[in-house]
Amino acid sequence: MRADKLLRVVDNLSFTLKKGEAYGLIGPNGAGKTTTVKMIVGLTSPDSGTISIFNQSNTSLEVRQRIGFMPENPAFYAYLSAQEFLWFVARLFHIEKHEAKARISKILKSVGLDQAADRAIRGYSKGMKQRLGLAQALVNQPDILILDEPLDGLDPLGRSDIKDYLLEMKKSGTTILLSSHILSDVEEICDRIGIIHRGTLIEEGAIDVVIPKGMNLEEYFVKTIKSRK
Amino acid sequence: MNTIITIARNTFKETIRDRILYSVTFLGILYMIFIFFLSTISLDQGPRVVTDFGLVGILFFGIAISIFIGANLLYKEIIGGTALILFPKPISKMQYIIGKFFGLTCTIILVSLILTIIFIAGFWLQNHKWPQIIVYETIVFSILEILIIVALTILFGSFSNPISSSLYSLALFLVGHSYSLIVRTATMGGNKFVIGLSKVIYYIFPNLEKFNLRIYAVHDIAVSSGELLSGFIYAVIYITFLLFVATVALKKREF
Repeated sequence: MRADKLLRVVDNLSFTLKKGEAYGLIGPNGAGKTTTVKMIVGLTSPDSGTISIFNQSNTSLEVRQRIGFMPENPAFYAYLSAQEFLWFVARLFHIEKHEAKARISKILKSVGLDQAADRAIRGYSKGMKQRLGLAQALVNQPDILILDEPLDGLDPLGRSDIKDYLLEMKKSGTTILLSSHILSDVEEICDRIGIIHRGTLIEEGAIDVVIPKGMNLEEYFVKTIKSRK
Repeated sequence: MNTIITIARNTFKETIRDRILYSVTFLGILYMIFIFFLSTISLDQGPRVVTDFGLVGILFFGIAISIFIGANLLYKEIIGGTALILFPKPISKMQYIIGKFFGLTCTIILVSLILTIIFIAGFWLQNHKWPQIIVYETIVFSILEILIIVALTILFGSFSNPISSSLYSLALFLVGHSYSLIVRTATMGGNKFVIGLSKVIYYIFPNLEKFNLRIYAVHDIAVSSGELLSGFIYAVIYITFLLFVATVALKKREF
């Protein structure tokens, strides 16, 4: 639970991620998705309640070693290149030099930044920064990938590339928590969804169970939110 | 330790490419060249002009860099958003603060080294001899003073914006050099409260006059090793204290 003097941003929220699944956290603007994600990765702390990852506190360094996180609109050191930034991240995870070199080169290729790897990040477009945001979250080969609006600002081609990559990660056993308002992408990638509205989880379950036949996620989402107004 | 080195190396890389650094360093180099020409028209005061103004230049431009870059260092990270990427990684706030401090320290040392080389060249051209050991000790103590200001800007940067952070650091720089004046004024009044207050200022605010050896350098007077050691220990303790408080302030911050 996260509260301040004026408003409870997130209240009475509880959910569990199963190993290897992709969980979509969806909700209207201002519903509390980003705050929830920030609490999970330890950027902000709840006023009450607990968050556990791998049965440990979410703020422990051991847990952080196994998490990959991409914030909404990721920002970087303007004077560094993508290559330098990923090396910096690899060093923070104490990854061996030769291993880091191989991983960075593979990741840069996967997210489509290999041609721009040596350019200063300050010259990158929003889409390129989104790609780099995802790249830095993958350096430690995380067991859990937590992504806040990862497809925002990408062109259709970029969205398709990143979606394919996330599906590949899911296939390889990585657990994914995806916070997004692009519902068609959530529907494609995720196994389960949780709908947050005014800081509370109002609906949760497997996509194919929750959504009635003949409806897509977007239609179901709109109907659910409207029924709560 | 590896994490601190990684953050320090990254901070060094980032600050060394900052345009503000180039501007301040360029101005510093111009200043040093100007001092040399000034000394050539100062009749028999030339050597003194080079020593005095040269040493002031090394301190002044170091302070300028620490305030301009140091005040932005944490702010850019926190408000700019890189903190959102960094803090979920396996690093503690203490490692982060210490790393940032050492990264900027390396930048400051590099710039001070460039200015020192120009200063020594000017000194040699003016005196046809190398400076005495006290001149080098004065430069080292100036760097220690600059590092206290760096730690102050990091501390202020952990909870305020760059303008406030620069103003606070500048204010403490001025207070730190006015301690004897403050005590003298307080003692003259005889008010016990004011005298007590001046003592509080002494213990809380940095006594930067401890690092001012320029008068000894100008008159070529040696400083005892005990005095040098006490100044060094004072700087280490004060910087450690400031970085500790900065860590606590950062830990309390929500992102």
